[in-house]
Amino acid sequence: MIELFILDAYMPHIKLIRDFARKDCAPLALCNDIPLNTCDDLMQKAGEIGCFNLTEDYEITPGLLAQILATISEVDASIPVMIFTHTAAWSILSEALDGSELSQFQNEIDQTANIPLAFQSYSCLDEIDMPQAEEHNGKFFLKGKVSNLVLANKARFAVIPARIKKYPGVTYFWVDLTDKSTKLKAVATLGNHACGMGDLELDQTSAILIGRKNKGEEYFDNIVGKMAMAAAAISTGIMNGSLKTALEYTAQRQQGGRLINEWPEVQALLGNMGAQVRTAESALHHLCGISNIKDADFIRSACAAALQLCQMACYVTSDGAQLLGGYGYMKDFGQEKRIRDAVQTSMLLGLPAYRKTLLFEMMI
Amino acid sequence: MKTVSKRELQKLLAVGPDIGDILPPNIAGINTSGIGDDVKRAVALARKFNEEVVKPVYKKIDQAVQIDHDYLPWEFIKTANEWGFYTLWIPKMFGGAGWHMASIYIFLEEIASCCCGLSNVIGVHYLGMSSLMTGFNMKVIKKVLGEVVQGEKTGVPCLISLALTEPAAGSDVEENELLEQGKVGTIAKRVEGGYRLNGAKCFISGGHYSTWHITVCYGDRKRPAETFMLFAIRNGMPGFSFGAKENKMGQRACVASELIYEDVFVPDDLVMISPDTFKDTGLSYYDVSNMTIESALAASRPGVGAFACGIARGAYEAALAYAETKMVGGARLINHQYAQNILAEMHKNVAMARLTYIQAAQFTCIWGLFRILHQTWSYRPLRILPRSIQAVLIKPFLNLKLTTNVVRKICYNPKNLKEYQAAIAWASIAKFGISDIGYINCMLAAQLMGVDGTRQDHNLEKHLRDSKLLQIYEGTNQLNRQIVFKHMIARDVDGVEMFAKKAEQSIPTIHMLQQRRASND
Repeated sequence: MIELFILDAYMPHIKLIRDFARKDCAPLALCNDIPLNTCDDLMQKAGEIGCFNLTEDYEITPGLLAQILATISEVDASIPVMIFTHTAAWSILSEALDGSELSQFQNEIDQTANIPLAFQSYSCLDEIDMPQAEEHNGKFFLKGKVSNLVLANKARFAVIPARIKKYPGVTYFWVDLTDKSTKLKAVATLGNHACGMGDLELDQTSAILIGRKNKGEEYFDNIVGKMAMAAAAISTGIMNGSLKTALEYTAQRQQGGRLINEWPEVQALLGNMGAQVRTAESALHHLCGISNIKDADFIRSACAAALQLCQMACYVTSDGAQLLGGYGYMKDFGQEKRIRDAVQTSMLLGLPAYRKTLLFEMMI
Repeated sequence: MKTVSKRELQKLLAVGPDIGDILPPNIAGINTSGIGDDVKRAVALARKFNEEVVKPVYKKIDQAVQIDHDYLPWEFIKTANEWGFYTLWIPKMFGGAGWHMASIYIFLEEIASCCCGLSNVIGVHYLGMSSLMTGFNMKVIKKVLGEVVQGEKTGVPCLISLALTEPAAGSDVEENELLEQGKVGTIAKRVEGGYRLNGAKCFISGGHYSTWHITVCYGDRKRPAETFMLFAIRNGMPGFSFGAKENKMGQRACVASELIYEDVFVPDDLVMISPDTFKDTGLSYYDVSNMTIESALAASRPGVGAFACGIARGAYEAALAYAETKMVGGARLINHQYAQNILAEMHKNVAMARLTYIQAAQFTCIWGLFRILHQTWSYRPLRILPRSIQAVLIKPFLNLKLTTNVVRKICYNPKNLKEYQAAIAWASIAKFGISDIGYINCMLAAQLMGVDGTRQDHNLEKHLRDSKLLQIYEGTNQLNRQIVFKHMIARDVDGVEMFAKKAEQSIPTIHMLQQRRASND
């Protein structure tokens, strides 16, 4: 189990999360692994134990968030991706609003019985197509397509970027997904099936302005570091789960008259996986040591870690399946699921190739 | 200008790497005229088939199996049968079209660039055919392939699978030195008129829709390599049944089956190779049993390379199409320099992959399993003479034991061992080298396409799922690296130990490490 720098005060919550991962997520991980999954039981349970109000209830540190995400991701990455998505949406609200304005949105969420918010995957706002917003008598209406909206088929509300006519920048809006003018098409994805994704068509859909017009880029830039660390944590958890399963299997299965883990090639593969998992944990430890999440060093380090660890996870999980031979490719052991989840998770922050150029800009 | 004398040439070529390891046999001077025509026809036919049959159905089949993994794509199999794909590469003397075997690999790449699972529904039948041919029992080959040809005429597909992997023995059954220590469970006991077979096989590609199952089994579980046998098992034989269908990550169109043998009586007529009927060819039966499995897999491994090349190409084509239209940072993605170089890298991977599997295929055809078809005395007559004449001139001899013994004498000839080793090693190079490239190209495409690449309504998602299996089946990539080491490297180095042989001296086991640690304490 990954151990980050967690204050004693948070340990009861961590214990609760560990129990949730072991007792609730693990048994359901495989049966929930169906594209266009409509099963909400696990999401409800996650909501009940407070997974979707981590940021609202108290001053959660990125380290604690990373610990929670990494812990659950060892058994199933879908719930952590829900937490990630909700946290990203809520963080935009927190950046844009304060006091009573923020409480108003909190009340809306509270009334939806622990259902998380929907949010898109992107590394920067000029990477996605976004709807146009029009203002009539102080009210806003959105028209256009919102692609790859994570949790679209489960959430009640979404935080969506749009462009207002005559404004060069981006503005965030709060959209009620049950509005009759919205049309949702669920999208089957490679991984994180229990989480779900969809394309949303908006046709003069009523929307509430979040914060100030034209300030979307600024709000987004302020949450990038925290969310990058969260994505890195999910990838680390997935890698750790893959390594553990491979260690267990290779200690039981025989080949050529001896346990698989007695073959040097297998030892080398496991050692290589272990080296990458420990490197990932070290990167997370480093990020936990930087207290100011808006500090440029934290953002740079977090974005670099996310880029590197997410890619690493795609190959570590592949080795994790390889070590189980044919069984690694079958649904039963969960190793193939980890490959799919790792790749899906690596896209949470947008186009990986483009992110490298963005990281270069941060470095200079 | 300097030249080399004839003597110098011989001397220089004798220094490693061996010229036979690096030159494809056709370039080395063996006549393979006519391959080009078959390759062109195969590529054209595959492209037509992709447009008319594969593209309209492959996503639907994948989704159907995703929902119900017991689903079998019978309609597709019947269509492939109608198009003649299960007999095109059967030699004319057995009633097939007799297309050059080298052309099948390029055909498989074409189909796999669209759907690897469906390409395998066709390709794995030829793994079955290769394993059928590997025992060189001409009478059984004639019988089984005759049914395949008949199946095309009647519209009832008759396919062949190779039943090799067992629940407790994966890589073990592919390499004799592991087999000797492994836990095999498919055992045949001698009875009057044949054998009684018991056991189970798993992960058998195409098992549930095949009619014949070339089954590897053993007479004694303590001496499996020396008691190795190959049986032809037909659906409907009492005691033979199908078990579960595996729920796989990808290549869902091609079922992975469990086969169950409960006291199946196998008459002597369907015993393809066994120690008691094998006539001496100058090789020990231990070597023959290893060669039998190795050469069947070596015929198929360039095919795995072709699948992987198809996937690498499919991923490249998906990324290219995406980059042409996607806008990033105010510009088309294809106009970003990093995107151009990723696409160039993927294109290079496809080109190198294709060269590798084509080279491996040529080795397999000429020095591997299909050697007998490429002798200077056999190649032209078998290629030129029409099926009807071959039926009159050759077919009657296929039932003779003498024919089987003569063919075995040629194919299991110790003098050809070095050429055989080159064919085996190149097949493994193609298998592990290109399957890694297939996975890498999918990951590179994902880098460019982001979350759009993970959508099932885009092509990349399926290629990515399909690609992983290529690194696992037909021997894990780790085992294939060992095969290359064994056949191309270890043979030239003194005192090399591999697998379990003298493992206590050469490879420290965990148990030994623990003992050492305890004694140090």
